[in-house]
Amino acid sequence: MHNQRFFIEAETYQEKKANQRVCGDACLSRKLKDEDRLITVLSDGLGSGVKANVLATMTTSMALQFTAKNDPLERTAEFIMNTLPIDAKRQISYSTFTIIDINCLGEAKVVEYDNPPLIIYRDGNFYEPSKEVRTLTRPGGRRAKVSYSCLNLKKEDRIIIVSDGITQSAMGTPHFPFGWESDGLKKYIRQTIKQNPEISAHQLARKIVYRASINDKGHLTDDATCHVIYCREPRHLMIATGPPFHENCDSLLAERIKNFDGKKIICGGTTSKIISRELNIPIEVSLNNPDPSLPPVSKMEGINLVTEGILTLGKVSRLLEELTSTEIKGNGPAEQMVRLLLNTDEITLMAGTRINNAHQDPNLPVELEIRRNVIKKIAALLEDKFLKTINIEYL
Amino acid sequence: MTKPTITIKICCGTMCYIMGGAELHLLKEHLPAHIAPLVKIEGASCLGVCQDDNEDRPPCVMINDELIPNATIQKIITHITKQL
Repeated sequence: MHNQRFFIEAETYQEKKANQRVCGDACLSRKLKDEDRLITVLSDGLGSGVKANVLATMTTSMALQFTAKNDPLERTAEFIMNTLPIDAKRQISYSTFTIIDINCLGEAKVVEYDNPPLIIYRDGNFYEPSKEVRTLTRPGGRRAKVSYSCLNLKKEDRIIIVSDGITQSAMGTPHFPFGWESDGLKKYIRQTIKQNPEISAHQLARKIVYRASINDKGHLTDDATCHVIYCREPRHLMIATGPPFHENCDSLLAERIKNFDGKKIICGGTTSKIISRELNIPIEVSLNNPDPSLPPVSKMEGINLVTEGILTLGKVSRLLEELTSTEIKGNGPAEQMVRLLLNTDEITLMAGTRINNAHQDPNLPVELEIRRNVIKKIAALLEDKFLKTINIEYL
Repeated sequence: MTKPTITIKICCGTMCYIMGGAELHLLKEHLPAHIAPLVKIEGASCLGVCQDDNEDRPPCVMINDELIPNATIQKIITHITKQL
């Protein structure tokens, strides 16, 4: 997500309770591109396992939809509580939730119900926003306290939301008889950011969950989820793929790559030859290839990654589609590209539109798709699934 | 040590790779022991054969300055043996 002042990186990391098949927490984020708005919901379902997962997933989906439609939050909370299925054993329907809605000006509206309070890290300290507590009536006449707060985000702010599996980790141990609690978590956050002031949202979320797991001696006693929102200077990346339709645009493409401030990828044999010719940078093709299903990567000075075109893009698209976390195994050309893409916030795709006649033979494998289609698919995945900002320029 | 006298450039373009060029990357393992020290194997970006409307088909390699279309490991070995 991008607004005029800073980029907002939002990442989740979660681990399930020991001996459970699924995690009973859910966390969903959605970027509303037209409004330049980001909505995140974290929910912890009653109990653990599949039942908890269903409750949490229903809560996050409903809360996200209602918030996106700008429905009043009281109505959202009431609707969720009335809709959730009732547990046969306990005769209650229950799930917690934290909703964060950040608009294009960096103003965040927060609604919290029964999750550990959200943590805001600002300039080495923890900022406490003023909260308004309202009481809602849950089915069965029980009363529920929901807290509302507003804050103006600043560059380098971090918001950390966790499920109680994190704050209650280590409970009963001599060190933390009442669990790690928010105080222990805050101490760990401060220490981690001090050691690595530029730690990404994903790394911080993962470290917090790992630490909770260590607190529980490797066997989490509850599902643990951590979501981190980090407001920072965006990281830029440019991909040049495909030769321009008009040959006289070759120099324009090369100049754009040369003057780009950020990481650079060239994807395509002809494209790399054009840029090599225009900028007078030799290409070195390496035959060491960790992924035999794709042609090897090449090296060009000043370019972070040079790969083959359409087959590599096809695999990148498949990998992005299949990825369920931001952990990528392998070091083939496609994996290297995915890693670079995911470690970036704003991606500019310079897509050349000249058709490669050699690829149009109907006897060739179907993997040789039209470049524009693959690029569109990758852009959609990066935007919707990984919340990146994408600009496509056709040449 | 024997100095390599033959340079083989294997085209790493898309067409060559899917038309059998991937196997050519394993050429080093298939070279007979007496030939291997004389040969230097390199990768090359697209040699452009796939773009021409002639009979030459990918995959292709360059042996010194000579272009070999429809290349196979056996064809390359035969060609090198002739040159030695």
